[in-house]
Amino acid sequence: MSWGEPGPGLWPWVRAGLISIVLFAQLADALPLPTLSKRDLRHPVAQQEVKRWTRRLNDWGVEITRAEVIERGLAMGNGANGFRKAVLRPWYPLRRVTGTGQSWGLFAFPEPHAGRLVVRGRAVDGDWETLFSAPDGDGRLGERLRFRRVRGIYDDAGDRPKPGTLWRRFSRWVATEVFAERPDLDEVEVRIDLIHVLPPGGGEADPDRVYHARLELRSELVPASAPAAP
Amino acid sequence: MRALRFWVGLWDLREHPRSLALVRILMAAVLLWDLARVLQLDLVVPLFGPLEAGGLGHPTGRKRPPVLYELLPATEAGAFAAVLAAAVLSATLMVGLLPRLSAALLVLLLAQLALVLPPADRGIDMLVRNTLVVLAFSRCGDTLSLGARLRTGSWLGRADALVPAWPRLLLITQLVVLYFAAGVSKVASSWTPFGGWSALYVAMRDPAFARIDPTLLDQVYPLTQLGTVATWLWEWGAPLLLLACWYRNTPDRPGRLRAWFNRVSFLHIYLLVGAIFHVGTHLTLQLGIFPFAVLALYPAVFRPDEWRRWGGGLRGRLGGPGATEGAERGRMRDANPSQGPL
Repeated sequence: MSWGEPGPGLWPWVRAGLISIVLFAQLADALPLPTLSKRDLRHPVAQQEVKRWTRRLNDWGVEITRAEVIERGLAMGNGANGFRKAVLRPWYPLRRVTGTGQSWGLFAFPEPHAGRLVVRGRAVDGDWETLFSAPDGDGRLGERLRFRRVRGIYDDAGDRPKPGTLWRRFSRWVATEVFAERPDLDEVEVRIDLIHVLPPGGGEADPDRVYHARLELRSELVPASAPAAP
Repeated sequence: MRALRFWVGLWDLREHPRSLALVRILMAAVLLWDLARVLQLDLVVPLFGPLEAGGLGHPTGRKRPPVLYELLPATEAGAFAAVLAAAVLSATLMVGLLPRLSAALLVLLLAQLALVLPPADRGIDMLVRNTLVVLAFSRCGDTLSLGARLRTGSWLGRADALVPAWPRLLLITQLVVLYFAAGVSKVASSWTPFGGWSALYVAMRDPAFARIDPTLLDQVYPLTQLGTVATWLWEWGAPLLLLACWYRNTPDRPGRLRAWFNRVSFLHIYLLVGAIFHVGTHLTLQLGIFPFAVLALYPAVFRPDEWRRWGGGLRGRLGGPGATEGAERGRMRDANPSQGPL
């Protein structure tokens, strides 16, 4: 078969039409449109970006304030969001059934205020012992908490102003696992340490901040065992 | 009209299923590995079980609960049944036993599992499902499969098998879209000179992904800056992969750029850089199956005749049975590199 010569019959044309529709929808989904919302702008990285862009535009001779940058960014974001929704609406049922899509923001905004998951435990009146401090942590607990799917539960917890229900469930699950492995511990703390990452020579980093700390008690999570027979 | 006929003809091309079969085997192997890790780490119930059975998600409490827990009991056993079914389907897909049915059922099942605890479902899982959808419509099981063995008596199936090439072309497009969209999305200042090309350094310091000691990382900061520039350029350059495929398949046409692309083997260099990039990110960042699942798509970029040539050459070097014949066939293909689409 030579290039540009479809086979006989109607099917090659129908198939090419179907593939074209699929390609159009997938490419529309993949378009990295700036879908910005007011919620996104609360994020420290977004605020830093707004600051940088305002300064940059001013340096280039464009007179614009931070508020105007935000206003225009939101207007663009709303437009882009509307376009994406309109194009993709017919595909939503299929996307839900197949779990497919084309959102590929891989490290689009590397996080200078990154969250470090920390798990500590202690016996009553004992000293705190660090059991996991991402990415370091030995044994089964460390392996499980580093597993990519588990990491997905907590790796953006530092971005959220409120911890949410999932964080509470996660914290209780981690504590239950620790109590099962370490009968000597009575309390477990699960928290996020927000660290400020600056490249070498980038100035002084902000001090670490503790986020979403939760204290879990063995007495609340592990049912008391039956008294031993005399 | 000519362009339209070309477009229709492009999706009507046929070729040997070798490249698609390799994608099938590698992608299923990656998936099987991932599911085996879930089982090994005893994470089936936390990740895929309903809340009432000890899961972290609450799928049955949603307005539209996943169909999975309407068909299966919302219990530990239900979660295990679903994950084991996914593992079995991955295995049948890998060995090529009812591969289209396996891929279709697998994508539906994985999509349901993704709904149980959405934060645990990562971008790479979506890529895996996208690939499975394409494989479900392809004849990726016509070679290198148990099905081929049962039908023809040979694991390789019929040597002259011709199947639609469009699934492979879609997988190449998927790879280009993945890289290009990722490149264009990188608008944070840290990916630009304004942020000191510090993106890779910052990402490698993120405790959720870090593998390298920060002190060591500080010492090689300029290398990370170089890596940032290279990543950005390489991802933005992804559409050149399509151009390189086109040039590879039309070497007799005129044009300096075409001649240069083919002379320097641009396609191979681009993919080699990609492979180094993925292996490098695996060694420096904790990304789970991401590098391997993306690399599993790479065989699609090579034409089936290229795989046969390399296979023949390898057999020739090893001196195995059929070595001479394989090497000879490889040379014959060499003489006519325009065989096979893109």
